[in-house]
Amino acid sequence: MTLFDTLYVAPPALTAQAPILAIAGPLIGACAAALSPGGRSGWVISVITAAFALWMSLAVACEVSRQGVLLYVIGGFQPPLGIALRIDALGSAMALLVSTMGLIGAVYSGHALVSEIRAETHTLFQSGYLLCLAGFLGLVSTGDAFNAFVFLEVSSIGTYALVAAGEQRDRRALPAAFNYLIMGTIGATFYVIGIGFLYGATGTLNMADMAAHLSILGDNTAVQAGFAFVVTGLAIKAAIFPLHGWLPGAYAGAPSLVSVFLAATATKTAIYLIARFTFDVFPDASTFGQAFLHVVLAPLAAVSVIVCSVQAIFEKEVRRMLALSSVAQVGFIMLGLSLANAAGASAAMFYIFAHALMKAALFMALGALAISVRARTLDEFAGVAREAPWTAAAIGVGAASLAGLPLTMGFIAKWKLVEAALQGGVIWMVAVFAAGSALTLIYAWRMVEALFFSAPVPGARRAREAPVGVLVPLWVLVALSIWFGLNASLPETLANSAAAVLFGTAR
Amino acid sequence: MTVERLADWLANTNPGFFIIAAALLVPLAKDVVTRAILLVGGPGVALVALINAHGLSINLSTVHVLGLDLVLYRPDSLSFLFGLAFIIASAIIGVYSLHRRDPLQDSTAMIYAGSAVTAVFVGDLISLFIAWELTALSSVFQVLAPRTRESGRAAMRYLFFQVASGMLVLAGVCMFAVATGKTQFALIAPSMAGLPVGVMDISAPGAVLLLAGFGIKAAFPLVHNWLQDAYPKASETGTVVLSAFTTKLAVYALARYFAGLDALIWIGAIMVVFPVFFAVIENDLRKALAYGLNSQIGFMVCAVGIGTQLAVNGAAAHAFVSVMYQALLFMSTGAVLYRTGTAKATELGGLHRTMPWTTLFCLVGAASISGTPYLSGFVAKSMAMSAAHTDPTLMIVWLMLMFGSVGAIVHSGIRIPYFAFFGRDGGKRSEEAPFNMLMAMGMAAALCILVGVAPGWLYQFLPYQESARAYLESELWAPVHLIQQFQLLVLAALAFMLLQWRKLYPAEQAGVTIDVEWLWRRGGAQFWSAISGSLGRGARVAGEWMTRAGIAIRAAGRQVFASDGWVAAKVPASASAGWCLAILGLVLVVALFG
Amino acid sequence: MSQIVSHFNFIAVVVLMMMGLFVVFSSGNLIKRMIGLAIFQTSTGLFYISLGKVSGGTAAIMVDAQSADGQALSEALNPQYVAQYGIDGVVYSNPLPHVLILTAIVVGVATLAVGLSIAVRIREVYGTIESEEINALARVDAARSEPVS
Repeated sequence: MTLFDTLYVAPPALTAQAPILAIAGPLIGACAAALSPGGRSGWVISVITAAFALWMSLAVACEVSRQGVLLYVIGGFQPPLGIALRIDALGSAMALLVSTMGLIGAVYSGHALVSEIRAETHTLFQSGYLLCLAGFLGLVSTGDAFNAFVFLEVSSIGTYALVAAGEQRDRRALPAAFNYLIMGTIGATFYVIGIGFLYGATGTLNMADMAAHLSILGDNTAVQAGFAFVVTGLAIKAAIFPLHGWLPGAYAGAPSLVSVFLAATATKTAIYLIARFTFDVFPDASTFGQAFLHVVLAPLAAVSVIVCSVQAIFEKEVRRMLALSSVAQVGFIMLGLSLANAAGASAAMFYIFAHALMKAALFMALGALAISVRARTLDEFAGVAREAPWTAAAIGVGAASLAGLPLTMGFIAKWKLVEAALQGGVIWMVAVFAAGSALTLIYAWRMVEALFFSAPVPGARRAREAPVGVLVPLWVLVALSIWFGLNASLPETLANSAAAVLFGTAR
Repeated sequence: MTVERLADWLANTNPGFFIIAAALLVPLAKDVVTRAILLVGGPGVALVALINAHGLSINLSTVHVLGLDLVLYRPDSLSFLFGLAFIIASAIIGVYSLHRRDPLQDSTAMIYAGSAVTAVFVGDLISLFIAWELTALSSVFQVLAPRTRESGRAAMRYLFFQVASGMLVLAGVCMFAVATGKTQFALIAPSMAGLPVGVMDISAPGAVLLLAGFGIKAAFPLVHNWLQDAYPKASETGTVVLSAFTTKLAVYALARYFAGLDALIWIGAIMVVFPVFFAVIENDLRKALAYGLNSQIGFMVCAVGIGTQLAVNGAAAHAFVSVMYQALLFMSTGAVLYRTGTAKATELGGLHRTMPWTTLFCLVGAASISGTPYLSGFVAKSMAMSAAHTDPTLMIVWLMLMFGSVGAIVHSGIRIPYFAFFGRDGGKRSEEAPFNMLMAMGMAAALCILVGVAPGWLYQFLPYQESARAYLESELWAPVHLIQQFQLLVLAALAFMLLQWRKLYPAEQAGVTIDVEWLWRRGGAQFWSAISGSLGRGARVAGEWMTRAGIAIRAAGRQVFASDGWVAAKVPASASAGWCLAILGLVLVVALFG
Repeated sequence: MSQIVSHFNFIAVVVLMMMGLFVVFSSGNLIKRMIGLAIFQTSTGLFYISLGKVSGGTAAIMVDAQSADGQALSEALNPQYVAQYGIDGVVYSNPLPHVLILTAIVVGVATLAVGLSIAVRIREVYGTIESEEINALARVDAARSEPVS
């Protein structure tokens, strides 16, 4: 990771506190936004805070690349008794992703909120957004299993409120948010129960300490039950088929800013925790871990890839289509993880980056178009490329990346997955990838066809090009998708070192 | 940047990239001058860059991505000729499309050309696949360009074949790379002396998939339909663009990886023969040309299959000249379509009065494809024929190629100009083609004449120099050869006149009548027309069934997968007790007993 | 039988958990579902407390035998233990689960607050808090081409 080794980001004194500042910054920002007088102030606070979080995440990433693992002891209580933030290459890669998407979303929010949220609630909305950001960042940084639950719920509670805020545009957001809350809470409670079992068996909550105990303890009913509760709870949060019921409605109903941010981060952080538990906390060779991967996770992920892709093909509403596509893409990522080797994990990690960039770009561009066209179904978007070429072109690139066409990041991600599956000798998985990609191509093509090659519906509202405030973050995402499609070295080193953390080939 | 560094950069960058870069700027060009500069300048820069590559055979540019070495630029004498042809064709097409501003079509056409050039010059399988897929995706916009419902459907079918080809290539590449760990063609068969041609063994893992992928793009028999389906439905410029690159790129790939594969000889020979029957009775002139094109590709595939130095030279030379004269023919029929709105033989005729220049250029192209001495076709086609002729075991193949040559004279050489510009007056009095079209046709015609008069110019670029020189000195201008070719021409012309005089030629009417088909039937065509008829009927029935099945599948799919369908009902947005507990139970069982 | 008695609190945990889940999934009324969710979360609280309980242990407050307060406290202890281990050998229950579950309760309350406020908004917008009626209205929305605002 030569880039981060040499990068000077912040003075050493600040870098030393960077792990906690990355979380505390957004938390303080959330309070400030809630108290701010309104108008544009919420947006300003949000952008500044998100930029600060990104800065701190970068500092952390540099430090991690130099030291390997960064341990930040909170309040001077030494682990395993005290709570510590423990950031390794996997966590820092996720933190980098989350805070990057956080900043891009914050910039985008300036324009997106005006038309979707009542003006008097803007500051509160920004507060929820920052709370969410803090939760995700904490989740990927913490080294304590129960602390992870707290951050999981901090982010989730923020998310429920943010999704419900979509009622202004589409009142179906409210029941969607309610369902999301029910399912999310059940998932989180399962997780807590699982942690309870593990605590009972090992007597510790520190993940590294727990891993040490578990490797001595061997298979034991309490451990196994704990494992089952933890991964099932996280599977609900990660929207693994058939536990994904909450996701399409929530993503489709939420304000476009929230869809952008959640599509890139929410399920991904849950996947991060699943990977953390299955490969890092539980001993690699545990039979139940392997059995879970091969008997439960891989088949469910494969079904998810196929079924949800087909559902996306038949879906009329664009945002629901993208949301279903997200479930299918989570399936791709899970298939990569279920290979249980470094190549598979690296491919999954790379896929997480690629999917975050492209899906965020798609949601962002569609959100921007929907402001002027006020359309929901694909047919209503017909022919908008003529009036809004830049936005439409971004959708085109995003769709290409989603379908995994060469010269985009999506292609390299799929390539890595196929390579990993071949290396692991799992041929049926390659077939699933091929079928899933073909299905993805169909719905991606439907989008492109509607935007570029269909005649506009008579009497439809004219589309307008998205304002500069939207085009800039949008094209940053698109440009990254293309650039990493041409030169994938940065996300690749991140993904590889993250995978090395899980599979012990790290330094 | 100093001049040396600029020159260095030019010499070490795949020329296709320059064309693609120019293509990306095309949508920004508002006026015709800027567009002209971009459309011609891109290929121009590529040409300058290419000059450095003449005579080289080394890796000039390698990047390391994902643990793979991608050889982005590796010219040698085989790729040089194909690249030269593509770059020239790209410039000519640029000129040809100036009259109408369609940024999407112009830009994608250039991306298509650029990626074809890129594909020819890359040195490994993975880069080849990427460029291969890029040609597929950019070319579909040419079919879409008329933006009609019909062209949209044809584009989907076209895309299906192209993507299938890409998938097969990808699968083949993966299997081969995983099994052998090699992707650079220069390293696949390191013991091979000289030019790396035909590097892959058909028994290698994945080789059959690669061959199938290449074969779809080369329009092998039975997978050729996409060509005749899509080409006539593209816009007048789109057809020219399509005709120039796709199939020739496939020929290049076949030569590079599979030259000398015996199966290709017979595939090629069948490919030469069967489209002839369709070409002579097809009413839509552009579709007839598409069949003719298919037959011409057959010559190249056959020559690649023979695989001797002379044959590979012949295939490469034939590819070069066929890019030019096919483009010329498509351009002239395109000009007719642009001015009159139709390309149907039954509605045209007598246009030479008002479109004299187009007529002249069309005649040059027609004469070239017929193999008239002192024009380009003669120079190249004879080489492949000689290669077949020198091997006594290939007698039947030689006869089939001979038949294809006669067929080419009839269906493209005489029939196209006759029905479009002479013959029964269709009553259309259109203007001469726009100046830019004439200019483009003039450039292509000039090349046809140049190559025909001074074949040495073309021969200096051929893959095997000694073989080419020997052929030029001893065989090409041999009296026997010349006389044979003249005989063919005169006989074919006589046959055509006889048919015409006796009013026996089929396509004068829109429908095909039984009694005029007898000549073709007696000439062994009965078999073919019976086959093609039953195949056509079978395809129609199968098509109907597939349409019906498609509707049924779609309806069933909607019931199951739509937002109010079965799956959505089983996995409701509201929390579902069953699923949560079922998954928890499943994981518990697996964890406890797994 | 003794197994059941000694694990009584764990059985209560399971019963509460299933009760909560059942209410969440079977009820159509949003408020009832929130109540079910709360019961479900409460069961985790009981589970954690039970984990931390050491048989015979007392609350984890340091007992100082020298002070008068300590003496007073020790009187409340199990005399058997005091006899066996002396006042210094007092067994404390594990305090950590209590702390954890305090956090979890806070989280649960926050969730409940958000959930109930969403339910209030649903009542205002849809005029009902019955899932089926809301779903029917949502289907009507989906069929409409213009977005609802």
